[in-house]
Amino acid sequence: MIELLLVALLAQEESRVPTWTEDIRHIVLSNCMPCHNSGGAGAFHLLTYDDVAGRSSFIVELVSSGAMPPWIVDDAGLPVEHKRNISKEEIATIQKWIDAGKPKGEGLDVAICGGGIVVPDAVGATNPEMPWLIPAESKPRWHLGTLDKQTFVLPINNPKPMKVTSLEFKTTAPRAVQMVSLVFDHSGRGRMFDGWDPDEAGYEMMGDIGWLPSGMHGKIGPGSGLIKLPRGFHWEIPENADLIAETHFRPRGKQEKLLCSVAIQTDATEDSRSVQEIVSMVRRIYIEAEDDIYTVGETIEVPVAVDMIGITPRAGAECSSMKIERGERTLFSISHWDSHYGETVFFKEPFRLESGDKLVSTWTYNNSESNPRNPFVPAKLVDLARKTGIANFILHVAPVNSNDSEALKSWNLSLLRKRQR
Amino acid sequence: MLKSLLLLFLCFMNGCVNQGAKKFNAIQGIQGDVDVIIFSSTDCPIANALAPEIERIHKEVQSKGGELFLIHVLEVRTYRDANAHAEEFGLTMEVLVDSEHELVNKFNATITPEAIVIRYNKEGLPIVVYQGLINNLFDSPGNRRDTATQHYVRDAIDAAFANEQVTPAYRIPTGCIIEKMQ
Repeated sequence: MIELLLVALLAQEESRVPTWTEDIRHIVLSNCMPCHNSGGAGAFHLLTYDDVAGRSSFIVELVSSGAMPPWIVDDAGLPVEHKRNISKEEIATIQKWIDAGKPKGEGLDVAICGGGIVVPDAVGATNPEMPWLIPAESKPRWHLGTLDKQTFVLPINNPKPMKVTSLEFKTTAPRAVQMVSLVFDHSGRGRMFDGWDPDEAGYEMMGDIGWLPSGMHGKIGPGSGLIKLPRGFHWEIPENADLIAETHFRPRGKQEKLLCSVAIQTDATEDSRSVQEIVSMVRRIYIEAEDDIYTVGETIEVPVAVDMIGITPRAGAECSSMKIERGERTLFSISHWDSHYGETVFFKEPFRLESGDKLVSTWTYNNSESNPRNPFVPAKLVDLARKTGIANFILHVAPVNSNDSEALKSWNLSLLRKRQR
Repeated sequence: MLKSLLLLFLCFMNGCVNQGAKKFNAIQGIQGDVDVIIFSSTDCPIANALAPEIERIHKEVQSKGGELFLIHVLEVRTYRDANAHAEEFGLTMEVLVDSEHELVNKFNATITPEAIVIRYNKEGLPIVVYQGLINNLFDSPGNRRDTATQHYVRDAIDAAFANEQVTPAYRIPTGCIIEKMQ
């Protein structure tokens, strides 16, 4: 009897027509709203019934193809936090709603979502009197490709060293700025670059600071201006630091003013561990035109035991996929790389790497017309190099034994220098 | 000719003063004339990213004696929105609203932005010589090049003015789907 009742209830649920208020609003709220709100990175609002109903077929196409919500990290690697994902069941519900004529139902028309705002212990901002103007269209860069980056210095003016646990980065053009690579600088080098042209906000060069790669203190992707280290970990930042922000933007057909700000949280626990970065990279790529499978890689041997809490990937537009492995185990992989979506990911659990563990990194490039992101059609010879790596995995790690901290730093620096030879 | 008829037709659709205007399918032009229609919407990011290129195409077509019409197709948009959008994005062509999707249905347009290149035959009737993708800036909604390297509509316009065949005559457009009217 109970079984029959359950079957009847299930059948009733299956035949139930989804409505905006009961079903679709909640799917939109959890999957789309973080970006598609006022001031968010999403290209248009998905706040009301009309917003969603007026684009429902487009929404289904985008989520079915995997283009939305934007997420490029494969499931083959270690489980990661804050994965953006919409389930097949949710997509089916949206389709069923469309087929039923997009019924509204009873109740709220508007989807409302909360935010994860950092309560700041320190802040920084670019000069509000001097915004950078994002062009209406990509313009040629001084050496190669197109101008889609501008680096800014955000003085933090922290009087004492700080243990950074979270960063919330905001811009006045979230729909155009798709990614921001961050690194703290206490050498004044960023200010020096910025000072070369006092009439221009920021500078056109990459955001590396000496041997420190941009993205060392995280990369922010679309949909999230927040970098939050797992509880129990922090970045040790010296006094009077600047945050160097390398912004990657996508022109939107009109000029837009770009100002940046950051809110920093420093609520480290007493037993919090300091996070360092080790860099696995290749310095140079040389790819003939139309070479559709060009593979480069590097193997590094971890000198001391560390807990790896996250990874920041870096590579250019010609790169098609990347992975990093330890033995048979894939730690992190991206099968369809997009240089505009390479944000920092943190793992659900720290992953222990023992001293002597070998990490094998591989990057595959497709420098042919079949790569839809290839900037050049027909393809051109690609000959590029970058001191801090033209393709990288920046591994965010904490030594298991804090006494190993200096040894790890010096090993990483010597490795960076050695690669230049 | 096309311009005025289109305007009359669309004003009629949108409750403007020109009630009783002629229907679009009554358009006639001079043999060899070329006009361009681009279906768009005010908040389609792909259409907006192409706005500067659409304006350049407009200037080019105009310099050759043709016209380019930007037609907004989303049912929730108004003529006022369309004008404000044109000002924001620096668009100087005639901007119209196809709120009832009559033009969408006539040309089987499915996407914004989607271009139609028209040439008039010896009877003065419009013949669609090219339809679809404007250029290859977007390979799909999630895949964008830094800059376009192939310019399909420009090529089609050049061919149309030269009275040459446009090949292919159709390229699948990429962008925002035009929702079917309920």
